[in-house]
Amino acid sequence: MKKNILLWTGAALLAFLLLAAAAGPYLPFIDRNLEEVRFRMENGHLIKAPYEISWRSPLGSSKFGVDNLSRIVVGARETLAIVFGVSLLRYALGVPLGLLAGRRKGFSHLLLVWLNRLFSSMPALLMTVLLAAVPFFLFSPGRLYWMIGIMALVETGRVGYIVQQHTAALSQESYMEAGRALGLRRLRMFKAYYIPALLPDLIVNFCLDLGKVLILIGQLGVLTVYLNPGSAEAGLNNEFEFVNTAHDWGSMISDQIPDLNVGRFGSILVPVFAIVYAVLAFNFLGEGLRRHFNGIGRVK
Amino acid sequence: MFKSLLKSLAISLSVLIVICLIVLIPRQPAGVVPGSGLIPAGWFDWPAYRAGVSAFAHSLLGDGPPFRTRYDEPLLPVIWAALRKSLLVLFAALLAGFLLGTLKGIFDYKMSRGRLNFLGGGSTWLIQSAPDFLVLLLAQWFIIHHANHIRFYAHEGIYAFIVPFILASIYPVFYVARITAASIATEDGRMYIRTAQAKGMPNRIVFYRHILSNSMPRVLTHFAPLGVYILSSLLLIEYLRNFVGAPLRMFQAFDYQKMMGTGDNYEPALIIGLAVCFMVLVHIFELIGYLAKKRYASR
Repeated sequence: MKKNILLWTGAALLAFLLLAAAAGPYLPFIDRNLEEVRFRMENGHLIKAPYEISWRSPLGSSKFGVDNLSRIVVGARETLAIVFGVSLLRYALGVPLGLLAGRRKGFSHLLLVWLNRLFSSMPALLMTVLLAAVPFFLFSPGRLYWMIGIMALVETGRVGYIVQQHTAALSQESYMEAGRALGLRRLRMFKAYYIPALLPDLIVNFCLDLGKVLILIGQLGVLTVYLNPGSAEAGLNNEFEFVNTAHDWGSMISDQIPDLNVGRFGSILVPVFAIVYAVLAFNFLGEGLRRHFNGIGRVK
Repeated sequence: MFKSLLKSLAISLSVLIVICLIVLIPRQPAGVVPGSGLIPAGWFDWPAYRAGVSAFAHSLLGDGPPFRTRYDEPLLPVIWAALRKSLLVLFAALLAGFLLGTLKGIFDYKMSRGRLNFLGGGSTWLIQSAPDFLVLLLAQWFIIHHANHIRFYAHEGIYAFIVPFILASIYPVFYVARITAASIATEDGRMYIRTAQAKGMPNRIVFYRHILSNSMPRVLTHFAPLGVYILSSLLLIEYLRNFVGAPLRMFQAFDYQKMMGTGDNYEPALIIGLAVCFMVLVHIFELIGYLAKKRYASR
């Protein structure tokens, strides 16, 4: 068999990402506390943040003097946790629904069709923001968990639909008929017949979905919709103001959005490229796994 | 046929009702967190919710005050103005996506046999997996810093169409290209193709009359999802260009702000109006996709 370059590239990229998330914050050149250094001395001159790219700050800094590289590394863990959380929840809901709806009739089928219609009637991004702005979620101390739930829910229908299509196609196979003729219970059929056959596709789609979730987080970041509760503080005019206290890459984008108005792109492109890197890692891995599973199928 | 149409209509109606119920959830926080003074609490305010729903129903049925936007404008002209700004770009991007995407798909397929495969399918795959905001931000950066004779923020004139059109059609082109190439690959090598080739038909005719026209229906099933995707990326394009079309107007109507409190200028009627427009649009996409597919299938 030809070497599966995509799979190994994806695995290496992802391994580096996980390593950076796990061990990165303890490296000597990473500022774990993300201190705001608004002024610093360089060659006898007092320099004001944002700092240029240099050995002291390899990716530059934000206008408040937070080192970009440190923030990316510190935020990696949080970002990955959110991404995996959303995807796992999405599949935990979508896969059983799709399996149950495999006969294309009954309550679960109706529910799936309904969910799909609901969340495809509006772009998923707008739907997410609409739900995220409900005060109950917006001001909840557990906002992050609600947001994970919302982001999972908006695409659950799509996952369910894909699983349903596969299940329906599988149920036409003759070995499924054999299982039914043996009088196996439905649960047993799912466990021993459907899930093993679906698993390769599910794993591939899961990897690709990780990338999609990360893109959604980035899009929310561009719209300055925070995932975290942040802390609400008193601002001007007796109003309050959300202050971002999270370090995930999406909120890092939203912290830099005002910079765009003065034409500064240096800091915003750092989290954007971090997202691109992670999305590429997930996509390489997914595509590589697809080839790997296809290869196994052919050898048999 | 009639029964399934009725069922589909019933589902759409119930979806619309649920969207209305979500939109009408009161956005003014019901109170403040005890002891904090200013910080709002997200309790659910049932009486306000009930009052809001009944006021909306009365206005809808015509025995209440008519709907107004936050600037006290009548609703329908505002919705229409916002839609008009986005529709042209939306349909132009869809069309460009399908035309150029098919060409790129054919190119990718032809390249896939050679050594330069990475130029075809590889490049398509790579660009398609990049997030849309990467392309937007890079384009914005490039135009502002290196090509500022192009007016990125243009609200009228030729650039008001060209800039969002190009930005919105990048992803569809590569998306369609990928599906077209895959669809051609499954069609190629089938028995009827081999028969045609064995009969001595020129390769070019076999490709265009047989392979391509039989793989088009599969490509066209992606018409509606692609339309929704463009609508979604149009939101970011309009947000970064500060150009208020339908998706951005809807986002503004949510009145989501991290400063100055949120929910004071919430416009539920406008959101519902635009949501209905989006639903109709999705159905139009589905209809176009269906009709085009049928045309191909009947040939």
